[in-house]
Amino acid sequence: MRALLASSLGLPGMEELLAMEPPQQGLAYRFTHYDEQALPQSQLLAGDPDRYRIDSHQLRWVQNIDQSYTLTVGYLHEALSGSSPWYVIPDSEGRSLQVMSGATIREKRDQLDLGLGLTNAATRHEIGLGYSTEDDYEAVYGSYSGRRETADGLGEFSFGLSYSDDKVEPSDAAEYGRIERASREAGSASLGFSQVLNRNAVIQTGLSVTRQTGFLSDPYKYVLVGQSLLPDQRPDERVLMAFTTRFRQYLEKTTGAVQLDYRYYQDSWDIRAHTLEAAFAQPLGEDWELTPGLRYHSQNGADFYAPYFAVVPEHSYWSSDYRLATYGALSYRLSLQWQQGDYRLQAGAEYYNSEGSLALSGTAQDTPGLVDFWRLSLAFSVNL
Amino acid sequence: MRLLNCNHPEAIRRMVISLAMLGLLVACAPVQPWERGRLALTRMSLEGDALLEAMDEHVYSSKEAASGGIEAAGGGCGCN
Repeated sequence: MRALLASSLGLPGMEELLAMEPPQQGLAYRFTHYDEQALPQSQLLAGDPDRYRIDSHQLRWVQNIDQSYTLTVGYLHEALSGSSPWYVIPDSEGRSLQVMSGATIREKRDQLDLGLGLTNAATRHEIGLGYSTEDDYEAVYGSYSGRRETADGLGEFSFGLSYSDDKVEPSDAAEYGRIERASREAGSASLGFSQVLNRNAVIQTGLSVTRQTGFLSDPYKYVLVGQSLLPDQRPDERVLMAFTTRFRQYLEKTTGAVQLDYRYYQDSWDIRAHTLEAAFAQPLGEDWELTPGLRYHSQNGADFYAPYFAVVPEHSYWSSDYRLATYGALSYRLSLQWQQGDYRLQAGAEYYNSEGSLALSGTAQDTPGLVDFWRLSLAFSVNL
Repeated sequence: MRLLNCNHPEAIRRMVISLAMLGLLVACAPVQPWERGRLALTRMSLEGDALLEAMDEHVYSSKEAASGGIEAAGGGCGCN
């Protein structure tokens, strides 16, 4: 917000003379190791219990071309190995057992993002283009985002549009009877507003609506329907809505900051979800900052989800993908940051645990594929 | 199959809470420019670290049914 520079200078009235500042120039790198816990043998019927491990490298470079234009370049490379839940079969007592993919999957993904921003008085516009490629998936996408400050410099409206054109070409399609190639599109619009509440608090609220069309099934997953093993089959349209609120409160006693984020989500597959994140960023001396955090997510399942279907459902859609199940997840996060001048180092850890019994509402079915994971990260950035 | 159901009582309740929150925003007191230094601190930022935000969105939207935030969405991936 444009008034912030004036405030740091401590000059009353200066904010009226200052335009919105261009983004901070800089270079940033982040390494993330993501490690899913192996499926317990008691829930495994067949396949490899060792699940995904992913190493990701992210780079971001922000460069102001002149007073108005800013170029942003982002690059992501990730390497994945492990097995993935395939389908669920009940044992003689009706207990769900997971069949995992047999062989270890190895895959790489590369993503390039380019952004061009224009900062002009109280407005900022940015267009973005992106490309993501992996062995069996390709996405080309573009976006526009704009923001405008209110006359008093204490509020800001934001608006965004994006479109993505994705192609799916599953591996070993002929061998496993998967679809050979398919496409999906997604269009999204968002609207937001942020407001300084007082000298210690700021809030933001916003709404995004996305429409996905095309092949939205997972080509690698199967479902037991009656006595037959059939490919995952989902509707070819999904409309989803997310309402998000973020709040930051500075604490004068400790000089720390309370960070609260909440999102309500619902979509046309009858999924509703609540996600709440709470963190407390506390400086330790001049250069260090420690941020413990907690995240809670709860969702009710899609109306065509079940671990398996004893009879063929009327609507002809079915999925046993655990991500569409009713469940809740708690994650515990800790981050330590060191900053001196323009240089910043940050290390973070997260443990994520999901269980049917953690769901806020809805009936959690027996879903053995629910995932627990560790995430460790190390980041470095420098302001240029 | 049900599309977005705005007649759902829970949805209406949330809408009312949202409107009340907006009312609160409109009613907030002015803050003088020299009182805004704390709001410029990194830990008070609403958007956070760009790479961490992007990775969070990527991980959670790959492992949960929900996705989306205040910003418009990016591209998909074949994450399964």
